[in-house]
Amino acid sequence: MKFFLGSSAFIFMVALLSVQGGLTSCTKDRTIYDTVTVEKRDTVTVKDTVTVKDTVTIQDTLMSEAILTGNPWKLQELRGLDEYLPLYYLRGGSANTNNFDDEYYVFNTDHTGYEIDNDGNTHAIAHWEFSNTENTKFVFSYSIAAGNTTTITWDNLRFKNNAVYYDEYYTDLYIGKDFHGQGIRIPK
Amino acid sequence: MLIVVFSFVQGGLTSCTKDTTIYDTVTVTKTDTITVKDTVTVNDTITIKDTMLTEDMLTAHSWKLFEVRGVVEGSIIYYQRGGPAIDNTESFDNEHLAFYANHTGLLVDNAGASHVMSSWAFANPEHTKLVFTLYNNSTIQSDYTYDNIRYKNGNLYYDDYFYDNYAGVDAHAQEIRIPE
Repeated sequence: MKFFLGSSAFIFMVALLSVQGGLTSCTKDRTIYDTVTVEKRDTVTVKDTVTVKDTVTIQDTLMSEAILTGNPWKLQELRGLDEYLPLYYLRGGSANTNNFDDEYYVFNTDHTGYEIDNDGNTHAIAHWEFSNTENTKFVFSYSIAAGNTTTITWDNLRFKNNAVYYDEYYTDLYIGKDFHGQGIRIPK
Repeated sequence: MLIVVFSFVQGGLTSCTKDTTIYDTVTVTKTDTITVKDTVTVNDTITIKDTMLTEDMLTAHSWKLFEVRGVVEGSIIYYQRGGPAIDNTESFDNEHLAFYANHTGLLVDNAGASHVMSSWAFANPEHTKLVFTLYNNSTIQSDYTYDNIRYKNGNLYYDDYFYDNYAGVDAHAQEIRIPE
């Protein structure tokens, strides 16, 4: 019994010593990941310039070669004096002295052109040009008939609402008469 | 006894486990892009209008001719104030025209004779057409039309057409009048 106790104490001591050693060696590292989220505000400023063209009303637009040659021009209205005879025409009107329903002018970019009269005859324009810097005066050489040419002037030219307004004058050398009138032409 | 001791010690072994916390900071960058639309609206309004002729402008003073070009019953008429006499087919140096606020008026011709204007009125809301009646002599009157009126730089531009009941002639002309 004494031996048993003695051996038991011994074993206990050995066990304790052994366990103590085990205790010191059981320390363990553990990594904890601590996630830190950083939010970065990345502001992008987009300059979005919108140009709104508001109503542009230009009542007297400078007449240009581009406008003139842009399309054929037919008469909307013509009033004048052909030598001593009053002349009046309004497209669609009922009190016209002459008919210009089928008449029109073409001005080419090479400064030539032609008129188709109301009967379908062609009258060549050998040359046309603006005769002042404001483009309010326009002259052209017009073939009345074979071998007969006259110079026609369109004065006080205005371009309004897509129509050409002007005063027209010439001397018809073929018949020998003078003309002065006011005309409005619109694109054909 | 030994089993008890070992059991005890085993329990001690399980409880002796010790954590050492190592903080490993991981930075995660989240980019939060905000697009700010900075809309700039530019109104580009250009309004260019012809000056409308008003009654006040018309009646403010008398008007004298600066230039006339036209045809009177088959004859060319041309006049420019101060122009070469050889170019002017007739003189209007002394002629002037007055429109009164009471819608009457007076024309003084180049010879100095007065012609009463019995009435005048604008014939359209845009005031680009003006009609008036004028005495050619003491009894005969004629109607005159000024059409396509433009008021520019204080001057009047227009087309003039009429039938003169006294002389029995038609006329059509383009004219410029300036303040007298």
